[in-house]
Amino acid sequence: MKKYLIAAALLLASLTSSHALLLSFDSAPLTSGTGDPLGSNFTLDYAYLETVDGLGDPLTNPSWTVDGTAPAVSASSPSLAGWGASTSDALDVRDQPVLFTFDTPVDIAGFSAVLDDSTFGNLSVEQIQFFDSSDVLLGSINVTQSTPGFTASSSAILTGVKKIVLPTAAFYDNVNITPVPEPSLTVLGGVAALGLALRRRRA
Amino acid sequence: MKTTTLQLTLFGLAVTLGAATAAPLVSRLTPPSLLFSEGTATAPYISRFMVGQRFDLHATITADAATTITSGTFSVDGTPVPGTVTVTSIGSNKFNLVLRAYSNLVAAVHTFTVTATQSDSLTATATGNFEVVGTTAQGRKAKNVIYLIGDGMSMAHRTAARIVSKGIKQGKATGSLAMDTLPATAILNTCSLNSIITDSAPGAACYSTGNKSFNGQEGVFPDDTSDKWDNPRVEHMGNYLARTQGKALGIVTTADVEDATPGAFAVHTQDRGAGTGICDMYLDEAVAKHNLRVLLGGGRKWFIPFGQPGTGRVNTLTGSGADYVLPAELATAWGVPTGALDPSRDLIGDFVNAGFTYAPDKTSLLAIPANTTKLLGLFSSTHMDVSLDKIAARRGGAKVGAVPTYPDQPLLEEMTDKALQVLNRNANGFVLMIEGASIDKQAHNMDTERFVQDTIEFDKSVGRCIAFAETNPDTLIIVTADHECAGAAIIGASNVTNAALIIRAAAGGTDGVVAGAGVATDGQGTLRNGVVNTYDAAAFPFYDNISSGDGYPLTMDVDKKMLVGYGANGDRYEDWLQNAQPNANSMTRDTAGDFFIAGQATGGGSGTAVHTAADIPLSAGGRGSILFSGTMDNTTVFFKAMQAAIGGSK
Repeated sequence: MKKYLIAAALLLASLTSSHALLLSFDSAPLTSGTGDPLGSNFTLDYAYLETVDGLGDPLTNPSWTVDGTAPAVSASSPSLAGWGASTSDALDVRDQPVLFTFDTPVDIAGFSAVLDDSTFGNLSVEQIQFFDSSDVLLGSINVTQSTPGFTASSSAILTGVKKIVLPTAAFYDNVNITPVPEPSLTVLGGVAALGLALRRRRA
Repeated sequence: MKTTTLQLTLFGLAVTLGAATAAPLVSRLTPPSLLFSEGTATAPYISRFMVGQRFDLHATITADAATTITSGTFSVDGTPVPGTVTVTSIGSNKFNLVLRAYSNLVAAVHTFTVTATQSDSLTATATGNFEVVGTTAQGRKAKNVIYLIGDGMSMAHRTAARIVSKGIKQGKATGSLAMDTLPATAILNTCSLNSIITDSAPGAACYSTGNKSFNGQEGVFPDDTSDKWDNPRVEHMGNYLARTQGKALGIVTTADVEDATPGAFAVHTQDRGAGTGICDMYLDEAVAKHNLRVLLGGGRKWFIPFGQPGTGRVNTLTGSGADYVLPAELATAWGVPTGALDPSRDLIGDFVNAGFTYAPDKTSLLAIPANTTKLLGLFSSTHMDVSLDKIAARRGGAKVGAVPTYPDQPLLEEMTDKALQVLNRNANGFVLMIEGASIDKQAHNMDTERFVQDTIEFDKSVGRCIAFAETNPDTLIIVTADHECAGAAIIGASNVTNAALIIRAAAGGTDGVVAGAGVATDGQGTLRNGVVNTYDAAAFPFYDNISSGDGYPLTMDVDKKMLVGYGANGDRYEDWLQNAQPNANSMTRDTAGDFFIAGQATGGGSGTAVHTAADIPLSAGGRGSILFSGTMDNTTVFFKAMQAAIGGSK
């Protein structure tokens, strides 16, 4: 029985030990990445919520859109802006939401980010939001920006994520996005673990 | 069966006792609501707050004779609110119940209930409601919010300034006011909590608190005490954004800095005239809580110790110009000093000790170091002189008003430049209120030339802010007023040259009609029928704004000049010529012309035009200005500005 539990643990490990995309914002480039673990390149931009189409008619789903007038996203130590203690550089999302856009939709098994430890922020509960290619909201994480050192995290599995939006009023650090393992790898890992367990049982 | 009989008997006894002893009564419940006052639970919600914005819960309870109110509780949505409810007797068997500095983080309409317990255990209860408004993430935030308030400025004031400073040719303006160039436009309703006619205190405080109040009050809701400082408070925008985003606050006015509009952005009082306390509160509270870094205007008298020449400080907590002392429970809950009756305080010295650079005149203002982070400028004893008189003195003309005493006063645009310079050093942005105060004050006095030129001065300040926003694009500019003043209307233009008008004004009536009750005065024929052109005959008055070289009209007394009437006028004599002295009594000036105009409004006394309930225009530009359109209540401006500052916009 113990061996079955070990096998199950290995199977679980095969699901969760996939390489995550970790963005520490300590070095360039900040605006894009290969997103290797996710299987899709991505870009980071300051963005706004577009509510109308090119003709001025309301969109069915308001769409987070790259702000072409905004500067490139930047990172710095929050303390330089009087926004908390000195830390390694963090993504500056004080004034405008940051939009992750994936070239191709990705499946996500986990997300986490650490917000600065200042007492400044938005007293409203904000949300980190995940959207698909049609701007349908797939999921969200509540963010309390007035809580110093807040960690936003979720282990919900989201499929077909095209956009992630980080709300304003904070510096974000160590954004960690965990991909859903490839099904074939999962199955292989699981089968291998079970096989190992059965073999030892017979031996 | 016996038990049931006993119960009925006891119930009957209780009913009888209840009839003999009236229950205590909740006569006021704050924040104000239609649910409390008339049982209406639906919109409009009289009181609205931002998520997390602090305000006081308050009730006035009238107790039965020979009893007292011993305790009370407040609950919101059925849940008791933690914190101390202070019960205070306020006389006439009335009691204040107050729970300070409450806030709510849930955006929704909330009901709240007060329950007060009388010394005989009878209770009083009442329910009201308020709305908590949230923001939504929409895009880039407005780092800086600039309110430009042309006090009393409505459409006619703006139109008059455009005609004089830009000119009209063949029906088209040959230039635009700076405020005309702002892309967003809205119309605002201005009524206060107790009247269709607001004064400047609630008319301006609505922009900093999101709520209405009684006339004369700023940053508070009304209560039933005479204490000027104990009213239920509402947190200002400057305080909120300082504690949540580290923004700074600046206040710039051409009025006395204790006046209603500047006070409305940093002070909590039911008496807009309590100058000693208001100016003390700027330093005691606003520097720490609002991150007040710029205070520019008139009103030096409040800063000079009692007994010294030029002082206006008083040794009273109740009289005119009163000082302030807060109830201890209020000071504790809001985390502010209690204040003191301290007429001998050297307030300028205290500001300097707090790190402020002090500028007593234009020369020193323009010379402040580039690294100045805190700035106090007090350029006259009370209200600053109007631009017409400041400009005249700069041109070497007559020195009138207070100019001989304070000859080196800055113009509003010069104050604006320095305020922006200092505030922009705060990396987290700022809230700045700039007031063109004497648009209102001169319209009250039906002094057309002075209110029009002050509107031009105000517009130049708008232009400086627009220029700032071009290099600091995350800046929201809101140009509006607090109310309309005087029912000003451009009625036409003069039929005569200025030289001819001078002759008519000096000669008086020549029509032979004897003045008297119900009879036209002589001057009607001379200065009305012979002067006032309307419709086609009015044509296009022309003012020379070039020759002066300073951007202001060379003279306001041009041939065939623009004429302004006043729909909310007080009694006055009118000769259409620029008054030699500012603030001249409208019943004793211009009398030679014998053209008397009877006003409808007694207002503050004959000779004073009054505010009206007319809607006022709003122009907005910069980050978040897209949020402003349509017709709205004046309190809504606060929430849109906060959306821009917190949630951002496209």
